[in-house]
Amino acid sequence: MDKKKVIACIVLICLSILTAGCWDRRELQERNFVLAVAIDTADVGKPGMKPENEAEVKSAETFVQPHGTKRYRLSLQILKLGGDEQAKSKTYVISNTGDSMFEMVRDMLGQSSKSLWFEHIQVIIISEAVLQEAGLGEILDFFRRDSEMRSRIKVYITPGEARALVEYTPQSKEAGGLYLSEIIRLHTRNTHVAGARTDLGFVSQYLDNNIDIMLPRIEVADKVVKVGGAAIFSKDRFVGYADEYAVAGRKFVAATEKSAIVTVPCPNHPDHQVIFELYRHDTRLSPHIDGDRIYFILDITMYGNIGELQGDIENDDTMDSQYIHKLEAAFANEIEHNVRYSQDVFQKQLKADPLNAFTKKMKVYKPETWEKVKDQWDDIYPEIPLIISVNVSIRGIGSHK
Amino acid sequence: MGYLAPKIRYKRLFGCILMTIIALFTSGCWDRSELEERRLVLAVAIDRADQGLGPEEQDAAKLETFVQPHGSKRYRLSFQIMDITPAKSGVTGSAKGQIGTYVISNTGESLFQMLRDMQGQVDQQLWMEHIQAIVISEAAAKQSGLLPIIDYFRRDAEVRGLTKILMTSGEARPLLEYQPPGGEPSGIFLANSLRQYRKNPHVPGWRTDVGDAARSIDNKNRVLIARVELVDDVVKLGGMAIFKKGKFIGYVDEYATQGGKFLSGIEKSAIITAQCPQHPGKIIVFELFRHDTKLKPHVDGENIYYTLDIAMRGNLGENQCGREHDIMDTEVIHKIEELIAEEVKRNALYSFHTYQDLKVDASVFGAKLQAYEPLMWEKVKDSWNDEVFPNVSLIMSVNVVIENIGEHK
Repeated sequence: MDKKKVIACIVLICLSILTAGCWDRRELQERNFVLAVAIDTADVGKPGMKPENEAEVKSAETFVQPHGTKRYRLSLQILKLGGDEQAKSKTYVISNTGDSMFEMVRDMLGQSSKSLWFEHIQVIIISEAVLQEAGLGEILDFFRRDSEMRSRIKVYITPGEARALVEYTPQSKEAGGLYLSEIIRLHTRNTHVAGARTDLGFVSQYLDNNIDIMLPRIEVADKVVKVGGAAIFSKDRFVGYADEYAVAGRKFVAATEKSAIVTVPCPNHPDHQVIFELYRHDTRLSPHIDGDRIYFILDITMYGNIGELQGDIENDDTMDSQYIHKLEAAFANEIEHNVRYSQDVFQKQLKADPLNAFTKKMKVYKPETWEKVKDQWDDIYPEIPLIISVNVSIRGIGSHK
Repeated sequence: MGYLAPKIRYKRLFGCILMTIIALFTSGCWDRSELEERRLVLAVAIDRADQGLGPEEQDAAKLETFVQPHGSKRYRLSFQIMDITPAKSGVTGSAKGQIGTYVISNTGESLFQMLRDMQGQVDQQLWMEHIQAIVISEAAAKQSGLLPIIDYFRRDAEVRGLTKILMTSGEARPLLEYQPPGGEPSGIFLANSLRQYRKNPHVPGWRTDVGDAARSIDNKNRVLIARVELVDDVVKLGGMAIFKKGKFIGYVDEYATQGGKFLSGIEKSAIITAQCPQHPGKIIVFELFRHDTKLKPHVDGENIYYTLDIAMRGNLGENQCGREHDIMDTEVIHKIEELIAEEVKRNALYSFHTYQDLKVDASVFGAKLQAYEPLMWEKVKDSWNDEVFPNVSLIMSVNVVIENIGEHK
């Protein structure tokens, strides 16, 4: 054989090594995609199950545990691939009880015919009862370590049972986990939802840096699922809920709102409402030092539209610039009130600084003072005054007016 | 052809013979039977004859059976049969054929006889080549041991060596009627579920199929069978059933199953939990990636003892203490490594003592002795399980290395 032929042979062999298929491939239909994870206390049963069966099911689905107690119930919502279109739900739920999440997950392979695939988890839902028992850090530890998990997983807190939420089939028949994660994507338009910086990546970062955390609250009752308000954590310990109004105020402070709806009673006729739609804003929060005193100034400038006017436009003429100025003052007043309300909830009652709004400004703009106060910061923070100045500019009054 | 030249005559004759021979080879398969003309059996359940028969089912059970010349009605044999509906032609889009299943049963003593009699309940030939799982109920296994139950499956040419065997403490037939939420037939579900044994140390899944059971029986060895339970609509695999000389001697739990894998070195991945010494009630979890396990027998006079060397490498999988340990600190990691090593030792010894108490060598201790100390083995092999194995000692040394602490930390 001449040299050329030998070279050709070697090239062919090398090529065949490179172009050969993937040895550890696994087809889509051979995986069980986990879409949603629910973490409850172990005593939570399956909705709708007969109570006499419950104990027996619970002992069948679990395992003998060398360490720890049956502390948590972990439920995984799994996507049904293929199958018939008439099926009532696109997903089903398997569940297990134990202490270590990882151990439960691997033991649940005994309930599954395919390997469980975590790369497409959309949401993790934690029940309040679990948070009363343990800190957020220990509950989420497995999800932070495992390499299959992604940073964009949404984390929700529910006051009820988390399992009921992963068992829920949306009216639109889409897969439950996808539905739950899509709800929060709209947080930029819905100020009632604490959606910014609440996914697993941010939670992880906050936990590592000892920053207070705010996670969206979700509830299910019968066929209704609702996201609104937030659960507040001081470091990783659950301290309480904040309502929708407080969440909106917090977003104004941290400037995480993109669009917002602000309602005030009409200045001339207080029995009906006028609504401002926020388009764009310029928000500045700055720390100031005056001797030993620390205070913050919040400067908000907002531009937007009249979104809705419930009264009679014969009486309240939006073409009248006098009236518009009155409205601007009323809206500015309302935003200040909203911020005050949320400061009262977060700063005074819960003593937490979620989204790191004030703490971070201190660190960045007043590093020397921060060095002095950082050890007593938890005591100082609730007492810090905030001076608010809001300026609203109405740029339009609607398309067809 | 008489007036043709002989040369041409031979050519023609040769041509005829060639064509006949080609016709023999190219003709179709004379004994073919099409897919839809077969009744593929996906799973088999074996119960005691009176199990699961309420007053309503009594009549059906009487009807489905036959007059038996010998023996008694001892077992109830059930088949899960695949029901293939071909895709409808002319339908555009994702028109798929659907796979359904149904279950038929019979009672009798000889499994082969029951099976052939069940041909009276189906219109096509029963086809055993695709059996995925055989589920045995505890009551049936206790009645007369394992051997009569699986004898047919060992002898028949259609049954494959990789068919999985499972055992349940309740009735076996409901497992065939169970509809897994993922939509596949339960026979396939059970077999595939058992294939996850690499990731799930709580199921044996290793040497628990018909071929291995047959080999173990021939070698007068113990048989290990995975345990499955069905309650309401939850199916769970975990732990195993042990048979010694064909007799059912008991179940071992998930913890002992995992420890048994450590002893034999057959785990691929495992989750090892240990309690944190500083924070009682909190758990630290190690995820095993790879290991080197060496079990060696030693003979010292009349005394037999084993050394087990395990070196494990893996990840810190979960740390329930939250932020209270600084895991970037190598000192802390070293402490956790020691903790996990201690736990592996405890787990392996737990299953070692479980096996000793059951007087059965469910791991590979006998095989190691046979390979490394054949002279000693000759002396003890007859009394190995009952007298020698329960008294051997095991010296363990475990070394754990944590290579990484997780993705988002």
